[in-house]
Amino acid sequence: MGARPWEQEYCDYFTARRRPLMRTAHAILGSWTAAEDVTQQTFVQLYVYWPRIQRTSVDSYARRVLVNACFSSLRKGRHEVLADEVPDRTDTDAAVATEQRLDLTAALRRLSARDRAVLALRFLDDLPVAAVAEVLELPVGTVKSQTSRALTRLEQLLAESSPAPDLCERNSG
Amino acid sequence: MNVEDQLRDHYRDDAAEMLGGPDLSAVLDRGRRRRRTRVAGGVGAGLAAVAVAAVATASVLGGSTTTTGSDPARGADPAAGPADSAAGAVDFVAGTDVDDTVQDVVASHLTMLGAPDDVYPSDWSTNGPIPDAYFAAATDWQAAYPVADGERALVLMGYPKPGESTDCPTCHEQSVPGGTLSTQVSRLQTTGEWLFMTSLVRDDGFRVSVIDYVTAPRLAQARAARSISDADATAVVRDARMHFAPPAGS
Repeated sequence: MGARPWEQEYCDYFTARRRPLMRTAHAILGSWTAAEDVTQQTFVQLYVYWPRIQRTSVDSYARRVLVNACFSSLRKGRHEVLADEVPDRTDTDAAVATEQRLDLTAALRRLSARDRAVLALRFLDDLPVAAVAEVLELPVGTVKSQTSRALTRLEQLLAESSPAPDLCERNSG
Repeated sequence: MNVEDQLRDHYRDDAAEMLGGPDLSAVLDRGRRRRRTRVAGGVGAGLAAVAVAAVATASVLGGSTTTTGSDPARGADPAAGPADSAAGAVDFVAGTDVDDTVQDVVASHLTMLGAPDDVYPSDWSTNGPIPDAYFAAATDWQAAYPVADGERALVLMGYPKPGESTDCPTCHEQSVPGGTLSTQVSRLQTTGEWLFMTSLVRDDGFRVSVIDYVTAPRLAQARAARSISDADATAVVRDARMHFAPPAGS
């Protein structure tokens, strides 16, 4: 059996969207291995239903499948959320940046998967609230409030993890 | 730096560390296998449905499109896809003959088309298919056909959404016995495809449409490249067999 007429279109989509979707999955799952697995599942499902999917809504459909696959993966406990390996840097700026990244990574790990999904869709994929609502199948108001709560929670976690500089200076003096 | 900017930086830095990614050939292998598995059951059901075709046709003419579901036949060739089936209509959705009817109608008028890629139920609030098992709640049915390189077709039929206007100021409309026939040409901004739509809105609001999507830089080229004529599309939308029972609970 030869390739189906729409397969080239599918392959073009795969090539264009493979990495962005994997980034989104990583932002939710916190592990590249898990993200690759879930992204692969997503593309398999996209292949199965490709002729059915309206071309104007492929991205939305793909993100919905991806996010649901992430949630499902976490529910099944197939992948723990892992901290990725941190590059070994020695210069001070890089060390500070790495420390901040560690804090943020740790803080994100303490959010719920749904909060991480909202944040990823809003601030990684730069989707408007309405588009996030469509992907997550939530009312727009719920997305707004969930985003706001997730950001507030993230700020609190980051504040908790930051050292108190004044106190350190006094102790060292 | 506020937390939103920190997040954006964090995500950007993460991307720089991305390694690997899904492999296209592996995805295609798994996707093709899943599709074959999914359709193989449909082929079996399609073969079984041949036995009740006469009854089903009578039911369609009588206004009911539901037949007793058939279990997929055992021993269907698992490698067979819809395009490979020699058994006529493929039963994409078990438990109903609407999908078979749509294929029969299309095959009788659009003889240049092969098997559809998919036939599925949908509803007013779903942009795409609803689960096959919920076909009794469908408010519309859609069949997607590959036509030629750069051309595809979608055949739809459905009940009007309450409160939604059927007016189409950009359509060319004409009254015909039983309803209003219209044609419309437009272009999808997202894909650049030219869209040739032929529709019949019956007096009760039920709509049947054939949409021919053609990829071409200009309208004249799209018209020249079309495989489906307005006359053939009109024959499909005016075919009385294009009907299905109203959604359950309506």
